Amino acid sequence: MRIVNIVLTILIVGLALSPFLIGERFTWHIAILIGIKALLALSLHLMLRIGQLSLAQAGFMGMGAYASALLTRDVGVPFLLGLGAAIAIPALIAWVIGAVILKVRGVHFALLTFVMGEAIVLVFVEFVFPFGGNNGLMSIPTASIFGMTLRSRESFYILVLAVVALSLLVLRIMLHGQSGHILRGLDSNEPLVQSLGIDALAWRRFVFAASAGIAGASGSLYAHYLSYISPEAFNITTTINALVMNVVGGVGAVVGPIVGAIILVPLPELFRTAIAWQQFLYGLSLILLMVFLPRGLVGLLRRLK
Amino acid sequence: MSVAQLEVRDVSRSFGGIHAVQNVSFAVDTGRITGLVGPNGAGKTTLFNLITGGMPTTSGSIHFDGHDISGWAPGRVAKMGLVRSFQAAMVLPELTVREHLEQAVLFYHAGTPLALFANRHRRATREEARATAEEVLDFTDLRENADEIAASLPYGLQKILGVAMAIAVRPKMLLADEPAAGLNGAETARMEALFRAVHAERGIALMVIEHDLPMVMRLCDRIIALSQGKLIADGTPAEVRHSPAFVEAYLGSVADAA
Amino acid sequence: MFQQFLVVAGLSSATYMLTALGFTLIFGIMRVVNFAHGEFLLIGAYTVFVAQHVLGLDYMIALPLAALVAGGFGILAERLLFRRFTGDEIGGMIVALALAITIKGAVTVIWGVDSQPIDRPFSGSFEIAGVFIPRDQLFAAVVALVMVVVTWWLLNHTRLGLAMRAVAQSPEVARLQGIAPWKTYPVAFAIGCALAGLAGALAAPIYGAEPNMGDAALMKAFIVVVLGGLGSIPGALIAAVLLASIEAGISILFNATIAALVSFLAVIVVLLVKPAGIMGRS
Repeated sequence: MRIVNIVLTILIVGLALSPFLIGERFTWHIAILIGIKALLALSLHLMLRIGQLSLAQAGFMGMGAYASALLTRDVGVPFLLGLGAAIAIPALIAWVIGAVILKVRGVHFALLTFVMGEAIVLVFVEFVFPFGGNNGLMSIPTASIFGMTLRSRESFYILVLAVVALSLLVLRIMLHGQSGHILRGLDSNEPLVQSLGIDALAWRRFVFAASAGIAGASGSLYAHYLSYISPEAFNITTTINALVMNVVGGVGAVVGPIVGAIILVPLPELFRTAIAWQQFLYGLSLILLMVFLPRGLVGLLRRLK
Repeated sequence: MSVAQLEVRDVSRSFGGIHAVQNVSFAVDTGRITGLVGPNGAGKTTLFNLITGGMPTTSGSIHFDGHDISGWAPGRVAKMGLVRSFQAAMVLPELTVREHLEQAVLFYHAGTPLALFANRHRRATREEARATAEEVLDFTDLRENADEIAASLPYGLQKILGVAMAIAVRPKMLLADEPAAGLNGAETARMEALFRAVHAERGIALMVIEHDLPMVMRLCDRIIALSQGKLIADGTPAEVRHSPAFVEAYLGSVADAA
Repeated sequence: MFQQFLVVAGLSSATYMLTALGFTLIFGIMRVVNFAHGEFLLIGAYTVFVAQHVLGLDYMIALPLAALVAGGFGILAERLLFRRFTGDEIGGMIVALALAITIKGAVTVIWGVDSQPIDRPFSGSFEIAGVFIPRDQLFAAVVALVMVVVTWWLLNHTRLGLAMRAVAQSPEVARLQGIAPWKTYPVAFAIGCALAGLAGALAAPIYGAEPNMGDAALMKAFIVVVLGGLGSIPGALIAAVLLASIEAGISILFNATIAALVSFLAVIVVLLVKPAGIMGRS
């Protein structure tokens, strides 16, 4: 298991650095998209780790995207503060509503978050001020850090890498060590863990908030990269795509969703003609994986070892 | 004079018209072993769930150490020093017996994420967990199983481990839900001896739900009997054994069952 | 205005009932949240399209055909996919989501994203008490209502229906009565999906057939079923009327988006306060 992890890590780090060697415009573009989508997949992964399927993740991503876009474009806030708000706002909202909705479990939680996700998108559609309605928001300023504008794709990619690395660090802290024991304990034997003094709801709210924050960061990067956002980018399909990445890579390990993003994001970009086929192939591969390889590719690698 | 530690005041709980617990009141002092007995469906486990399980009362209140703990989340009640062990053996996957005891202490210190991440004395906490685990291993005679995966232990030892984890967080009072259920004679004797030691050597008050009447009568210095959600007798084992209500409820139900 | 409200609420009540009935039936019996329910509407609608434009069949023949085709796909889905995930809620939901995007993707690959024209069996409208009632919508509502009644009758007066209700109530009790729960699964799926296919075939002449038509339908089914209590059939029927009335009222007073937001809010509140739904037992 250790060896597989090390090999995978080296492989992923190698792939993450490969755009610097290839240096092509298109490669940068794909690499940036992989990073952004991987963040959303990671945010979903975190919830799956506590046994909850959250279908509101794209909604949180949208909150982050709109918050960051509006603050930098209309209020004139520096990009880093916009990114901070894009993380803090969804996280805070998740933390507050988590006090109530995390008492709901299983199917009901999935339904609840599904409806919430759709409601968030509808809010963007309905309130033309400030969200721009169906047209969305245009001319979102380019990201800039301490006066340095990240106009080139290279520099933006470094930013994306940094955010992904930070998120991985957050996930690592949460899923390993003491916190990991607690979360695993809550998933496998909640009454026991609670009887020893663990405040289960507080821990779940913490995970939900972190998950929403990571999704928000993904949204902020997305908005500043494309400089244009519209509500339909944050509907349920986006959440499902993130779910596909998790299932392809495997939900047992943090590398799972990253592997999933690396495999799945380039496909429609590489085969432009195949865009019509994208959803069909995503769906079909998800079905086949669920039936034949429920632990994902990373799970397969671990078993082969 | 001892202060009442756990006080159940006129507590009722109903589920859609069924009165699981009705107007039950009692107070349990420090330093006692109290037995909670009654036929199946008498409301014993419901009462435990009301005390430590986060289940809100329909009416009445529950107090521990001067705090109204009615409806508190289990984790919060545990932090007050009122800890529960379970009817079924409960263990965490992939951890050894020693790790279970260490984790019990670490969980106790990490009730909320804030408590864990803001803890400046993490090294000291880990040391304490390690020391406590060793000490409890000896106290509960689990040393020879220390490095076994808990899930692979025999059922009886898993139940001992459950009590050991509760002891490791140094509660003021331990609520044990059918500690002897599913155990054979030797295992029951070991559990009984452990409870005596917990009480005598560690000064932890005990409240035990148990179907093994002879064991409860031997172990406890006070018995509270429930039947159909109501308190029907409260006193020393001798008093309760001879109370007509108890005899009727208990032996009546045994006769029904036979 | 009030007559207007009654007509809109009445017409949509019937179609919501039809869509939600299949959804709640499948959940009640198999504990599967069929996220692909909207895609079975899609199958029904495109069956009508193919029947009309490729096979040259009349709408009245295409309509039952759509139900049959969707029901057949339902049996396949149950056999090949959902049965593997009984008892695994999250796995079942993921497979349902996967099935949904696969069917929608396949339809997009074959016919593209544009709305396909469907020949209308009825056109025009007539006036009652100052309100115009479109004939095609009235036809759809009447057929939907008839099918709801037929399904209701099947569930209450046939051995299979009674077995299904027993399973929905409690699989353990059903097993004690000698009913093998898994035997009712394909039937439940067939009926549930056939009803969805019929709903799609009824909607097709009014709104056309397009790949995303299932999304809105799924959302309505969701809302109705959550309000009524997951798996509860009477709950679904009552909630369908409730949702249709809320929507019609708010759409007339404000607009359709506000109506959708209000219905979402109602769902969230019901899920939090009484997760078992208005009619459900907790």
